[in-house]
Amino acid sequence: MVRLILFSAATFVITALAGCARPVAADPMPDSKAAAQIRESLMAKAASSAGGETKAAAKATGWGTLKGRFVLDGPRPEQKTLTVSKDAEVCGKHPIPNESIVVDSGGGLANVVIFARDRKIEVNPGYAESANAKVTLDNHDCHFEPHVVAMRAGQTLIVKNSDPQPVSHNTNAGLQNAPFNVVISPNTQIEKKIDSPEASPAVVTCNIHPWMKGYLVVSPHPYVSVSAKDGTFEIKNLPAGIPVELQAWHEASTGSGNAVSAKRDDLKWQPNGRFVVTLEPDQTLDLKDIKVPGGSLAAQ
Amino acid sequence: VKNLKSKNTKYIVMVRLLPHTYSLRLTILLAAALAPLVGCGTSPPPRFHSNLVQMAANNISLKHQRQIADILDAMFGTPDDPFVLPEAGLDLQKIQMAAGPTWSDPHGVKRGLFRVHCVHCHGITGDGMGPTALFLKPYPRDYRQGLYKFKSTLSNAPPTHDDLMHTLSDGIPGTNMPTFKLLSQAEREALVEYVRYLSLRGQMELALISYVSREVDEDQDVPRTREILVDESGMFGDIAGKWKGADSQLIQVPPPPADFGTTASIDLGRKVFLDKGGCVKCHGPTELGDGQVVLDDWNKAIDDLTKSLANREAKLSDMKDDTRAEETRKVHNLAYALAVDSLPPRESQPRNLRQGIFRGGRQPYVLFYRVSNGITGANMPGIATTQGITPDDMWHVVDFVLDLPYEPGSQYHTDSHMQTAPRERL
Repeated sequence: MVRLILFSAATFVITALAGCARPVAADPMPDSKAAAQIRESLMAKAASSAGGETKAAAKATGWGTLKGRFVLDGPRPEQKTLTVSKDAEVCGKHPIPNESIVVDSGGGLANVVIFARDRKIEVNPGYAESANAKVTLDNHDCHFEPHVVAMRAGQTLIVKNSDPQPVSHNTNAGLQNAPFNVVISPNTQIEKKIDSPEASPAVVTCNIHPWMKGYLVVSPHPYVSVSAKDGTFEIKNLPAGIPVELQAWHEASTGSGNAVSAKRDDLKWQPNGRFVVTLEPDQTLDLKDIKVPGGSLAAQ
Repeated sequence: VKNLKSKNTKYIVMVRLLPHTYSLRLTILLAAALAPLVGCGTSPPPRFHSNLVQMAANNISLKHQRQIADILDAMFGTPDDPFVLPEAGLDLQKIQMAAGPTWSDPHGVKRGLFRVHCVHCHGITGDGMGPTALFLKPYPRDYRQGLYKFKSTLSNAPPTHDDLMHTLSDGIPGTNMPTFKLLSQAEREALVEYVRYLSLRGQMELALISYVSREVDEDQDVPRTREILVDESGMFGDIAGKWKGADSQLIQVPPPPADFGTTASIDLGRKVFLDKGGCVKCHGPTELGDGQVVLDDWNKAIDDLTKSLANREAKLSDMKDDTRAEETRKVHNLAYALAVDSLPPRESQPRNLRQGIFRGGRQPYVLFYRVSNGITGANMPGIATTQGITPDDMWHVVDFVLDLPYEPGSQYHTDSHMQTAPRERL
């Protein structure tokens, strides 16, 4: 009988507990007072525009060049090859490297994207010439060449397939503003004019060959550079005499938004991959080696 | 000793009492059975959940998460009390008809339609993670990215009102999405509006997450100005503008060639399918959809994060102390978010074209949409801009695809086939 009581009591307690303690994801509750305030201010049309007095942006006093080299601080990771699961008669001919972290023998880290953060930065008139230039992304030997393509909004992207029959590719560009996904038959190409800049580098994939992955940077201005095989980069004709904030991005970086972390106290390098430089007119500022800790990169 | 004795006496008294009170036993059992029914009191009103996975993947701090929740509450209200800004271009009355708890007003108009018909699969937030979602293949649509597969618009545009109405009215053959033709037109209109509302809310949340991760430092607050949040060049202006402009982004369907429907046209279609159209790569030379497996955009986002999480966890042990603590915290946040706010990623098969089941509809012009512009989110590419493909070529492919289910090879339900024992048939 005691057992029965104990059993019943235990059942009671357990069922009562189970009933009420549903696991709830810990997402924050909105504060209704704050929300009401925001709603009111969002409903008040045009009134807010009075607050934004337009500060006259400081004008560049000339133009300067920024260069440097990204170096991996740590052991050089072993370059793995990707598994070919389709069209092996063509794609299997050459080993296809996993390009998520590419480091040369000197430690240079390739495919770091470095760009000016100000989307309305003053642009050197010399860049007008290349404003309508075409940029090529090649599907070659069943991988994207180059791995990271940088272009500016308004330019035309040529997507090419240099592979022979029967290797059809499809290029699936995960752009925020103008995504596209098009079949590119062997030895053909398409052209896409891309007018809207993107907030961050977009992933490009081929769904027929799932190992293929690349990145497309559509910048609002020409001040963007992708580090070369030896890790070097150069951005020419940046506005001088005014502070310019730059951001470094790498696909394998574990930082927030793939921001590159680096130990550069002289540049006041931020954990979010940003730093500010002020160039003198006609100066070429060489940042030399920018060391990226190996632990901050995780290969895909 | 005295104490013990007195306790024992009490105990004995209790035990002796019990056999005579069967009713007590019953009461206890009844209490135990009823407790869970009574137990919890009134539950709090349902609320929209944060996109925890994207918050964690973008390392949004708790402070910023709260501020984002406030902004979303201001712009969209709650599931019981929805709200939209005039810039959304949505009809709040319709949204209110679909939102909230279920009841009928004195005129017999049903309210709370979303919670009657949709919520068990699509979830209160429209995240495609209702209680039944895990058991369905494919998973119910997650509205929060604003991506829809079956639409008449170009790949970079949202679906039109009519596209969503078509999906709701006709259902999606081959999936668990049923038809809702039995609902009145007004009820369906309300639901279509509510789906768009949930998409706008989800997209606004993603835009805020992306903005905060790029532009807002930890010591700063998430901006609340109209200029950044709502205006034409702002986040919501951009999102709502695309939805409002969907009707001008329609896929142009040219008239089919004169030989459409003939054997010659079907043969031409087969050629394009196998060669320059590249269709064969995924749908396979047998057209059974066995050429390639793909992860659609929704599953891929989770799959990529799951893989990167494993990589980052493996790297933790080689990190230096100063960075490890921070990285450990981020990794744990992501692992938690993936555990509570995602479904296990699943691969999807390209369509088996021999069954004659086409999810977006089987009308020739609908198939033309798919062939020319692909299927957004499902990673099916289009061939409209592929070099060497003409509009007639695309029509021939449609012709071929429409004919495939009637080819002898697709007809396995022949008389002789049905006469064999079921097990052998399998």
